[in-house]
Amino acid sequence: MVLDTERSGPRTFKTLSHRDPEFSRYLDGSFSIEQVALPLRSLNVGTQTEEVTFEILDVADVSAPSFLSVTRALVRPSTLILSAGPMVAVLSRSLAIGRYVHWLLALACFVGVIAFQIATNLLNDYGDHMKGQDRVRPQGGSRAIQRGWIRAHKVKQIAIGLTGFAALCGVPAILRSPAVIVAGIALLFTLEVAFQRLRLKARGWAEGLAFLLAGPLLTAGFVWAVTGEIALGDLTLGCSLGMIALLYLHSANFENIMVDSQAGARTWATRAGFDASLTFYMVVAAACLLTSLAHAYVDAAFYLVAVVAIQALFLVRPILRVSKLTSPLSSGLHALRSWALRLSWITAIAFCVFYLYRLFEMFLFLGFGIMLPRFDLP
Amino acid sequence: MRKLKIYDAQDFPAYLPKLNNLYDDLFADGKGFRSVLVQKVSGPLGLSDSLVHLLCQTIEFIHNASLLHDDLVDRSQLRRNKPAAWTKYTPEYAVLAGDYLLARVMVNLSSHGNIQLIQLTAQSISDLLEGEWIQDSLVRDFDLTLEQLDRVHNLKTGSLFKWCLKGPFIGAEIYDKEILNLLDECGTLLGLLFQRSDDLLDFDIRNYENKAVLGDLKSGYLNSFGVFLTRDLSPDIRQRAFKAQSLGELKSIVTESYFDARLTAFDKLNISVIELYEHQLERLRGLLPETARSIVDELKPLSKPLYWRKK
Repeated sequence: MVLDTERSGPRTFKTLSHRDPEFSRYLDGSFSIEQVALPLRSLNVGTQTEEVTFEILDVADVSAPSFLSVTRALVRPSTLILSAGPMVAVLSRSLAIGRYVHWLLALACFVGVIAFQIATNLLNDYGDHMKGQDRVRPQGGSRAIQRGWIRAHKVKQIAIGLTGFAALCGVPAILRSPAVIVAGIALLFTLEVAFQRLRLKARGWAEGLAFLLAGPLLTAGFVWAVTGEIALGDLTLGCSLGMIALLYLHSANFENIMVDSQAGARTWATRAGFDASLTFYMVVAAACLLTSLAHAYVDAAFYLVAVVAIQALFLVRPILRVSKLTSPLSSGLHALRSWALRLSWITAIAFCVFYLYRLFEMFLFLGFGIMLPRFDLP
Repeated sequence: MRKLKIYDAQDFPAYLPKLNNLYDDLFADGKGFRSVLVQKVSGPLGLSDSLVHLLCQTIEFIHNASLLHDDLVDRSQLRRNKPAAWTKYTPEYAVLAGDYLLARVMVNLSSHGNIQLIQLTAQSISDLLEGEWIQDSLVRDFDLTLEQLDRVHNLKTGSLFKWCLKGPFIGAEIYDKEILNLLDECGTLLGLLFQRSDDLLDFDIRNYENKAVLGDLKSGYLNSFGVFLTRDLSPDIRQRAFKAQSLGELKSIVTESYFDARLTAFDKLNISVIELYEHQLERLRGLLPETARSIVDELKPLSKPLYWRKK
């Protein structure tokens, strides 16, 4: 319930049901230019009998932060590492093993994918708002729409514009290689996120898709598009980073296990229950290490074992914290998502440092005949 | 509103030692607020006296069963300024007496025969227990948000208030979904107000019943006002506040003026909840048949005394 305590004076409420012709216009904010409608209470979310009680406010009464803060809330920059990390890491790997990189294409793809993820974040906010998911899940999304900082239909317009921009960025890559398959899957997923026709999120598909789209499919599609080559190492690198995306999504779903269960959403967390979700978190954390280890083996690089060690050290605290969780409403659940994002940062940087070291080593050897120590597996 | 005799020794087997004594202690001095609420809704619906009695007995039995269990779970020594049942009659008897009350509820309701009423009651008991379970799992968690606590309270406190409003309608065989949904919403808001007001007692605010002060905080449970009071404080002050052993100490840690300012803001927040409750009641008026519309007039004045604890 978003009731601003700082506001004084009597409040105006309006309740509309799903059958009401104005329902969608109040939800998406297009009902008035001078006023905004903040959804406070919802009944029967996701059904034909849904009812939403709005607080009606004059635009001037909404205490919105600066434009920059609203943009930051909507874009959620901290989550962009989940797609940026795999691209930068696989690009570093390509340079280290001497592949030819089409830089202009790499830049276009990178910008396109980032724009695409921002569009997905925005469409996710829009879709959740229109379907009532954000009223069920208080911790989900940017909350910018619910607070009246921006109208839902504006968010949708920006997201569609960004999707078009992302598609344009991807055109050269699509023309050059079969990366079109990845782009197609990603586009379908984005549309599903926004309009939730197949209700994939509610049916427990989101976790698997997050792993694939922020993992092996992303690294494979990106490297294929910008170098024209693909190898097993690109896929294992993608699996390692995709597993962190899965850890992130499971953290989000674990955090919302109670509200999702009450709303009938079927995430992996709600299917497994609290105790098994706790174990599953640890299994995914272990899988992050194992996939990184597998990648180190495939690339025959001893140094990459250090990446696994760094990950393991980092994971000690969240795992200890998770093992002590006792409640589906525990405040300890809130930190899990940001830990997964930090793990993504650390892992991507560690991979890049290794591959760039290799590049530097090659440069010194070929240019000046200097040999730096190699850390390859036998 | 007449005070119904909810508990009668004849309701329970006399051959069970201590059981009737335990219930004598338990039911004496109860305010019976929930049964008053049931009567306020039942009157305009024209329910028979026997059905009203059954409904009142049902809600009071469930409420008192929850008190028996709650006191044991929280290890509370006192209930209504008397020794809690588990301290006087042993924990085992307290658990069994609570279970027995819940069983009697089902026996009585099934004899009445309205399956929807049984279903509503079973759901309310289930929600209540879920709320108890989750609340217990949150002990020593001092980083909770008001939103999280509202969820617990909706299960624990709201479930019975919802029952009080919906029970008489279902008893009258009015199954209109829109009406029941609205009653559900009004019950949720009433439960929220009641719980938040109850949480203020722990900080000796409008504590006309002289309930124990800082009991929640000392037992490691941060209640709704505790969350509201401490959420914007620095980590250091928060940690010190959680360890406070008296209200005076707590106020000196957070400062008296800050405490008062947060109380004003908390009251303001709950005035908004009261406004929302009144909005929903007006919607209910539009849905009710002409003869039952006075229910809204009966329910409307309830929220303010409930929150401000006025008699």
